[in-house]
Amino acid sequence: MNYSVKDKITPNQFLFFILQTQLGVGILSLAHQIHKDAKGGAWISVLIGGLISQIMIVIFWVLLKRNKASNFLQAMEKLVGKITAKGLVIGYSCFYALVTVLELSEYIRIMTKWVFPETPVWINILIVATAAVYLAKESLRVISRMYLFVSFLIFPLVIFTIFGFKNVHFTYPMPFLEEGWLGIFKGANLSFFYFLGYEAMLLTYFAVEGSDKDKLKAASLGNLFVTLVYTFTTYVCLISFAPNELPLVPEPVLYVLKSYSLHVVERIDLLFLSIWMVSVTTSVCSFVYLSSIGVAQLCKAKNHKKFVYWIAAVCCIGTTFTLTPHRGEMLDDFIKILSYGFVFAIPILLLIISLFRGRES
Amino acid sequence: MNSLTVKKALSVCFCILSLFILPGCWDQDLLKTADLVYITAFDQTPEGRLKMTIGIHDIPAGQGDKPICQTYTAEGDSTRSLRNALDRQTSGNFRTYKTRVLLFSGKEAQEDLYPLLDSIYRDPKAALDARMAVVEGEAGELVNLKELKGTLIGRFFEELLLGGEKTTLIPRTTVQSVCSTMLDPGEDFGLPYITNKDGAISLSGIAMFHNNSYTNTHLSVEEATLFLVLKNKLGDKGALFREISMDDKKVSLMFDIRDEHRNFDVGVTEDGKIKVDLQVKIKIAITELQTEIGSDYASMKKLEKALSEDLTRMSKQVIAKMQKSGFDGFGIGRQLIAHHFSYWKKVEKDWGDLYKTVQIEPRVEVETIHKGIIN
Amino acid sequence: MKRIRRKARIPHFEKSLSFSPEAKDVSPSVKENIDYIKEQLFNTDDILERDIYFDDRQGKLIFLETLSDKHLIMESIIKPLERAKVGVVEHVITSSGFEVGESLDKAISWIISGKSLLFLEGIPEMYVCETGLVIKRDVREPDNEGIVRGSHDGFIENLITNLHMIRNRIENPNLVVQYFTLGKKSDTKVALVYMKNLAKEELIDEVARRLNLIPTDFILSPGFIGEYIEDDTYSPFPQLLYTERPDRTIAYIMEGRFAILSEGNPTAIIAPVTLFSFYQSPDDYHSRWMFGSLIRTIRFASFLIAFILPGLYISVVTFHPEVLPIELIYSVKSSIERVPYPSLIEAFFMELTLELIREAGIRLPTRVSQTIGIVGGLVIGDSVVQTGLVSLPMIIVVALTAISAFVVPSHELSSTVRLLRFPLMIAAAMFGFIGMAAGLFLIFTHLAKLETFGNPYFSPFMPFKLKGFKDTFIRFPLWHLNKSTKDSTPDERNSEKAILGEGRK
Repeated sequence: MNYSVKDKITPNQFLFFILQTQLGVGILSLAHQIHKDAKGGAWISVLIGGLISQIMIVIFWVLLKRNKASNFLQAMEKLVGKITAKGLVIGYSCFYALVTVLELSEYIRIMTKWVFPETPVWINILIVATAAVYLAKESLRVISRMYLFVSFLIFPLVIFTIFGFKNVHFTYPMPFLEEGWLGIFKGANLSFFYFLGYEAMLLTYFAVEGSDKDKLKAASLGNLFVTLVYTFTTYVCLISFAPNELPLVPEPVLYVLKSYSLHVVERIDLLFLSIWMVSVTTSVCSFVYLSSIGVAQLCKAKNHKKFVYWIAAVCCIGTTFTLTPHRGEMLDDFIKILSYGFVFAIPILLLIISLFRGRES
Repeated sequence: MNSLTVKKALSVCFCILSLFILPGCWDQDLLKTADLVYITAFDQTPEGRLKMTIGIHDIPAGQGDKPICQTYTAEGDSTRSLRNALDRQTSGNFRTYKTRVLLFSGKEAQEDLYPLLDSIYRDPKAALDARMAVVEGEAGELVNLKELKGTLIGRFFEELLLGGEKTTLIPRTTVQSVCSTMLDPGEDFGLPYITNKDGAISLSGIAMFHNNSYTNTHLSVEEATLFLVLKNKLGDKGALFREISMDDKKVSLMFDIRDEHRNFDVGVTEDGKIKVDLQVKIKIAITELQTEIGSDYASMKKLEKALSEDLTRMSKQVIAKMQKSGFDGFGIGRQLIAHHFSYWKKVEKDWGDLYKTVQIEPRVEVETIHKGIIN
Repeated sequence: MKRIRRKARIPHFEKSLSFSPEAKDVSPSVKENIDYIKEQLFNTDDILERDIYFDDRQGKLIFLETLSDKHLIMESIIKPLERAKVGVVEHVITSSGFEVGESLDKAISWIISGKSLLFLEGIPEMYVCETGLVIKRDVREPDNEGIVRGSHDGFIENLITNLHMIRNRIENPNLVVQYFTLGKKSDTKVALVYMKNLAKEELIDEVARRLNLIPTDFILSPGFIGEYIEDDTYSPFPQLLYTERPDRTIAYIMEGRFAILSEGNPTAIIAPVTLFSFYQSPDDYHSRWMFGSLIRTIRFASFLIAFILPGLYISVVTFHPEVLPIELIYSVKSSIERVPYPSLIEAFFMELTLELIREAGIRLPTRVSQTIGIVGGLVIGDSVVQTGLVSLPMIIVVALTAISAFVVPSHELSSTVRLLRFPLMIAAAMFGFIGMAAGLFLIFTHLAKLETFGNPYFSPFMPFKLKGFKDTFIRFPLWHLNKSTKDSTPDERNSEKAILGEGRK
């Protein structure tokens, strides 16, 4: 499918599309996971992770800028030929679908623990999936509009976390280099996965109006914002929990919020979870949308609506199979490997090809 | 086209209907049926088993809306099993999400506290901002009083502890803040110490803990305030009464500590000794001055100087007491971890003994900011 | 819109065809003509005919006495004719509207619109004079849109008077009135009013197109027109603004929107509008801007309260009671302990009772409706708690939401808000806060995609336009607003179905 007028979005909307796609389930467990490798330096790892994704964004940008076309498939067809291009798009569609499954299963895992221990899993999935599909079947423009709107919710998210400063010890994360730079880079390597989402650029880049420079600026700003939010929450978790305590708490952000109360409302973690649920929904929506857009481009369909339903259904059913901890881990590892390929290796490879082609001509 | 809209409408109707028919609300937690536990006391029976006493507050409808307190007691081996035992005794659903106070008898507190609290940390609904305190003697007995001077027992203790925090009598210790300290090798926590002398229940300082268990020693009220000031944990204000000698005169004065500035420096000397510098500058407001001294600048300076010396001396006593019982309330170990990590790695294993030998140099400087409305 | 497209395929009958099967010209014989007309009108008794003698010819004047102004006929037709005796008819008659017709088919439609027809023996023509009788009530302030300060007039049932009020306020050559005749059987006259230089051309073309496609037989109220021309009939949100205030109407016209007025109804339809238009009241502009802003903010707060408060309360007492502060939890608990029903049923019961009281209050005359207020408010409110059917906090919640819902200046949006809280309540009763979040997400997604005449409905939030906020939540001083916030100007980039785009064809 080509992007019609109604699919065009402004660089601003693009910014929030990237931002909301990146900001997903990860925020809750980020500090816990990175702390495993990097200990007190976890926040540095997150910063480095943001930097790596920034570099990747630039790589994507150069690649897309050099291969202008009306959509990703056509750009790739020009670059690597029809069959390979189709393979690539199929690959990315599947990848996005798998990421959807991962997001959903992570969401379900946390929800089951924190709010819905007895509600059947499929109902939980349905709640998110309904909301996500209802939005994903719309045009990119409507999706971005909605994303911009729900981005206001990030402010309460951050403000709630600031309240957590009541009971903190700034010495808890020190020394930052307890695990050495090796640990920090290990953590950065892990945090790379929490930043995933900017690869949405590949399929949406050509739908953005404005100059290439504007687009790069938008994507970078989105990434910068996510990096700051992630670093901030990680740091708050690090100073709120003793180094030996953090490994015990898989969702430290929620735990911080749970432990204090405002005078008007207590259990702020519940409010936080409700807002977080919106952020997960937008992420799921993005990935379902991207996946269906890929398929739609392949099928040369007029719009992506019907693919959204199918892909969402498959993802929901797929999610129910990944809910045991063992399978969840397997999926997680599998997607990590895939991400190296799809977000790291393939774009760089494509860029190299593109550079060579450029020189030839 | 028409059939499609009909289908659409039908499917919407179906969805709404199914919402009603579905046995929904799996995770409902009705407020109606909840028995809200306000206060929990942990004791140890002579046989060494755990005894838990809970106080449930309620306002029964139709009795003039007067709040009442019911207490239940059970014995068992773990907190969670006791909860289940108590749930069987109560009429509604036993809910702990509004627990405000946890009391521990001195004897029970001498055991490791973490296993007792573990079930609270695990529960997504548990109240993590409940206050904790150690009681001299039986804690359950206090809860069984149900009511004290017209206030329900849970409310009484809550107000007692919150008030103590404000006036710098006791540290602000919630279930969550204790957890962090418990899992941190470089710091110990102290809990409010409550005594019951023939029915007069009062805060009597801070019970000192080491390695998550009560050392059976405590700081007195005045020592506790000074300890908190040295720890840079001044509440709204802190009141102290001192008798100092000045020009061979005995001067007794009462003052509020209004503001403080602390300089805490943990260093390691070249020969591997730990040296702690603890300088505190406090601003005080004199509230009572029984002995006549001049109101001129010189005599005020003299008073400040004498008071500074006195408080420094007293600080040394407090620190000695802390070191004796191994209570690292200042978090000197924490500072070592943060700033001298390699050294900490070396001494980590016998930190408990090493702490007792650490040289801590306190110095208190006093500045008077006002003395009330007369000179 | 799909529906219009479908129905538009039905061939549009020529209106006159429905009266006579074959075309017939005026015959020179007066009697023949008169008989034909009478026959076509089934000899209805309110036809009056009067003999006229002019230019040495026998003639007859025919009209419907129920629709024509007899005094006017006397003054403008009969008297001049008698006085002149001879001459050219066109020159003698002083009626404001005068036509010469040759087809008798048209005669029927003329006569039923209040015109008088004059036939003269031997002339195969008829003279049509404008003699319509206009009965109209006085111009007064609409009851349902009262304001404190500002103009106190309102539209009435007469289209011409209404247009007069608009014209009178906007003395500008750019103000254009376009007439449409809607309803195959009723022939309702509808006027489309807009500023030529402010309203987008595409917008006017589009609304004209939609108006022309309305296939219905007769137009009873503007609601008929509204439902045919609005974008999304399945949306709970009102997409057209109805008002009876001329000042409000011209305010919107001057912002580049259009208004549709129809004969026989005092309500103007205004479009395209955003959700926030429904929260603006002319009062805002009559008070100082700070106070105006405060009032507006309160109105939006009321929107949120009316929307989510019942759901919030239900989810708190059934799912997350730990959210309540400890001082509150005991009093809430003791008061809901006596109620045997789940809070959802409690809420439904109370909300429905409230709607009943409201509905009853509207239908009854003012004096009786006060009684309803007392019965509803005091008796039900008090005894329902006494018997333990509904808890006190629930009464507070329902009362608050009710008051908040009525704060909305627009009746349509107020109903929407009242309607939408029911799904939210169900979601809350099933999944607590998470259910509410999901429900709100769905509603806002719907708002994100909703467009009216190519304009985003939830602007300036979606799409986000900082400038648009000058006149939404707060009211900036007027000189700030001079660069009018033209959200009626379709912005290609931000409107999903750009009017000329593929959205509707």
